[in-house]
Amino acid sequence: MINIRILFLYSIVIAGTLYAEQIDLRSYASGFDSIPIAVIQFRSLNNAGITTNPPWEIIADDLDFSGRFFVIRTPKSDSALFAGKNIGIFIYGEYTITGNDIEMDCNLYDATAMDLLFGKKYRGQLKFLRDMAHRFTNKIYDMLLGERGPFESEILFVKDKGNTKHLYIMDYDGYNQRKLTSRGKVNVFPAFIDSNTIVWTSFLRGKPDLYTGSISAGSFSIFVYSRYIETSPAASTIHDKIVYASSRAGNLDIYTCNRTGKNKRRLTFNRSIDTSPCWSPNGYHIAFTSDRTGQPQIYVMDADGVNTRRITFNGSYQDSPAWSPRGDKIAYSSLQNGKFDIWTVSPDGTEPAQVTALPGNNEYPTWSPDASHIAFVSTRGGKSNIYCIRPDGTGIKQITRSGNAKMPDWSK
Amino acid sequence: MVMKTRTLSAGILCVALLLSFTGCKKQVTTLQEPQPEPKPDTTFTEPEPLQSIDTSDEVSFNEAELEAEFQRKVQENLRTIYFDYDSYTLKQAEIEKLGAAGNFLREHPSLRVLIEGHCDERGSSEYNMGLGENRSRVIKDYLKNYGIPAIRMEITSWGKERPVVAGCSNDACHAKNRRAEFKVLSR
Repeated sequence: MINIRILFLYSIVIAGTLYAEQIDLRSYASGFDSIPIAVIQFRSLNNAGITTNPPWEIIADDLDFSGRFFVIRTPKSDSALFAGKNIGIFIYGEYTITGNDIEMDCNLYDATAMDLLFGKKYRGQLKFLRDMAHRFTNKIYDMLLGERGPFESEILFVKDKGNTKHLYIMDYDGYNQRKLTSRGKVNVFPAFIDSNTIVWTSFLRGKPDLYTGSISAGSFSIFVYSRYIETSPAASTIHDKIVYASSRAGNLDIYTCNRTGKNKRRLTFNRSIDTSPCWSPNGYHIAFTSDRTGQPQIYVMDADGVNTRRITFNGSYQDSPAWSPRGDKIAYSSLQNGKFDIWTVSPDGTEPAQVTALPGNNEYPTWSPDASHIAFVSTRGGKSNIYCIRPDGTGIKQITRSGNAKMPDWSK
Repeated sequence: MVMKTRTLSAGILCVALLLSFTGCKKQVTTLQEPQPEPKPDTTFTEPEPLQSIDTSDEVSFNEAELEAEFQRKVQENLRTIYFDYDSYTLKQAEIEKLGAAGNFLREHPSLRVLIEGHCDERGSSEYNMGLGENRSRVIKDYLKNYGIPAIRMEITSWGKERPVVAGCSNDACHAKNRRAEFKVLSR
């Protein structure tokens, strides 16, 4: 630890460039399981203070959420506290609010030398304050860990009001919820195509068809439609293919098409329900649910529909596969002893591991873009809310509180 | 063997003809008692007042009434069909309901219907979308075999998205949601 600290300080003195600092922040970070960092309350440069959404709290919450930091929150810089808790770096900022606008400096400091290591200035409307804070945390996260953080990611989900269901989007932490659909009584199975484009199933015509929409433009159009059921879409992050389930050949089978809805191709030919498909992150494989042996189980096949093999055997009813962005795990929901819990399994069917052991049903897993968390729907407490958990079963966090949230899809 | 059967059936035919012949003969020979002469009316009976005329066969030309009558018949004949958990097999009691539905559709040959499958709230929405469709398809197939052209029947599924009762905790409650409903598309 001491060696790392010395190296860290030494390099700042010597190199002083941003590039060199990044390297050394990484070596500082690599010395801990939980990186010690302090977040100090920001200071207003005029009399206008922040009453809601304090950015220093958002940054600290982000760091806490990741599970990779030991975060100390303090109203002011405190050398004794820092020394006592092994704090080598801290975040501090200053801001000026004028009307509806804010100008904010967010800085990362060396706690020992009290040197500025890195700073960012954000300027904009106050309503974007949370976005500014998330963006700064992402920047810090990247500098310390060399990874893209999940703090600017968003989650699509469905809100269930009586018999109407509409799509919503929210920040990964549950804030900033916006309604995306208003037409059609039932809108379900939302999935990101890219950060601004979504695909989902709507009953706008009184039956399920696929629609695509632009979040920023608020526009949508019908995508795949027929007299039959077109449902459960998922987009690849690698190529332009959408995988979905269609009953145009009799009962639900897996199909793919491109992003314009053309080049439809049937991949499964079973007289059983084949549905709920998702892509492997490399785009070579598809995981899906099939009841070909009597009850739903998870299968994996190549992207052209061959080499199908079953991968779940630990329960009578297993469903909703979600492939980790790292590729090494598939999350799913498994019915055991009359209730559903989230499990993970390797794509070759080995190492099934239970993630949740919670009251109520825990279903519909979706991975954070950095694979550090799984969001899912839990009916613990009687209401349906979205929660987050780490794949090892730690760090559970409630994301929604309205009690009617379902079917989350985390942005890629 | 074939010859034998033929001879046998020819014999049966002969006996049958003979029997029917003797039957005819009997009818001709039986004489009926002559009817007594009608007596002339001696008393005058008042005609029944108009109010008491039986109106059960009356045909209404009121549009709203006709519509209500049609809707009543639709509800009476195109009844909701129920299923067991995670199943799309038709139960005996439900098959009887489908007989009534088949007859009704035969009597109204211009009627086109949508059969909507629904599921209870257990299991994933994706899988239940397929299960609901299987429920509507098994009904379409039954009615097709009953003699209703497939072109008169559309099927779809709402999966578990439109339960009759939400938030069930026992099977009696879940059972109300495992169903297929008829909707009239055109007539």
